[in-house]
Amino acid sequence: MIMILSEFENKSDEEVTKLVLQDQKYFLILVKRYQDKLYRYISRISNFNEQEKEDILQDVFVKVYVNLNSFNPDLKFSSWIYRITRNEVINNFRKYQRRPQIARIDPEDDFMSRIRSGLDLEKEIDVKIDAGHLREILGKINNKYKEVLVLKFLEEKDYKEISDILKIPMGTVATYISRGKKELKKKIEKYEKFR
Amino acid sequence: MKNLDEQILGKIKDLKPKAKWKFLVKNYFVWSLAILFLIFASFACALFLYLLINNDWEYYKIIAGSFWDFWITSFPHIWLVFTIAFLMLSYFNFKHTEKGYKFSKRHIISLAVVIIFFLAFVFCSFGLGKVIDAINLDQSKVFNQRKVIWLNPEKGFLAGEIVKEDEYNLELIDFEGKFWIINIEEAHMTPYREEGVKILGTKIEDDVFKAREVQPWSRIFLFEKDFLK
Repeated sequence: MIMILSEFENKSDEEVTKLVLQDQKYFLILVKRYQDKLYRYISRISNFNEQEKEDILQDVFVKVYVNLNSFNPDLKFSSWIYRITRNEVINNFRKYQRRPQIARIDPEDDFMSRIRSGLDLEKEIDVKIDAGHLREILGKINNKYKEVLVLKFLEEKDYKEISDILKIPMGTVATYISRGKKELKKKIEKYEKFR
Repeated sequence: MKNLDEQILGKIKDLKPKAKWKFLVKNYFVWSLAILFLIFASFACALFLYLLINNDWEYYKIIAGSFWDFWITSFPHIWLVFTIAFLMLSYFNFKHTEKGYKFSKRHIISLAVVIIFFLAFVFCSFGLGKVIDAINLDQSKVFNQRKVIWLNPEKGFLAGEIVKEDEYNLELIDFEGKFWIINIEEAHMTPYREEGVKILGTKIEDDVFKAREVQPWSRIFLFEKDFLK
């Protein structure tokens, strides 16, 4: 059966999940909507190779489908699928005995301009750090702060979404973002000094 | 990511979403454990409060010599440990409920402590604390040090239930089940209730004890009197 995806453009994720429960074919809509975003997210929080990342992504979608009835509509679907993705990445860290790290920051991510306004760095230092150095700096930050910074400044999630993805209270999200920014600022300043 | 969507659809082709009731059962199960452990913590806290309130602080010198030794000997540590352990188990289960992560550790623990003290207060008022006095002497060494202290006639401590009394003597069955005649001619008597007395005095014979002081075994817990009417 051929499905014209554009017909479902106006449907929310939550509405699509209801359709999927009636007919499996609608799952393709969710896959199309999320496969690129999640692949990028996996790349940002891990250093798995291409094949491993694709395997993880496949497992994520299988888990999403199998557990679709556990999706709580009080939550945003995107928060729920990001949470599953993060858990799957962590499971794979254990499986491959690797440590979490920031693996990819694309120049087009515009991460620096987003975080620069967040850090209020413009006046203090002229930050001209390439993606490689930024990756190195981020790699030195405590992992729990790194996770929220990625979600906030790369995935552009709000506090509520980050809270739902990481399953931590919103107050803790705010604390981690604040501490993460301070730590990042300190590391960038140090980098500027010794450059 | 060539044909990833096709591969995914291929993988789920023969699968079906798990039934909703399975998730509901799991969530109710976790909630039930959280509540159950909270009640256990309240039971443990009720026993802790009962033993603490009824501890014989006024006799610490006679019983142990110094306040510190008395504290070590008689403080109901084990029930405090049980209370904290059940509180942590309840917290752990609550955190694993569907929305448990939204609340901070400080808020959950604070609320749980308030509930535990409230329930412990209610349980104590219904006389729950007294169940701890029903356990045998061997177990008392761990769970009720106070009972061990007062079942020591050689050192002048005796406790039990009065079965008969007259102007000069009491007939008492101690908490180990041994029969005693208690001479009260020179004793200072404090009004006592049915559940028992503690007696300071001297052992005269194998089953005769001369009392110096007779006091109720436990204090009335707040509204207990009203509940017990």
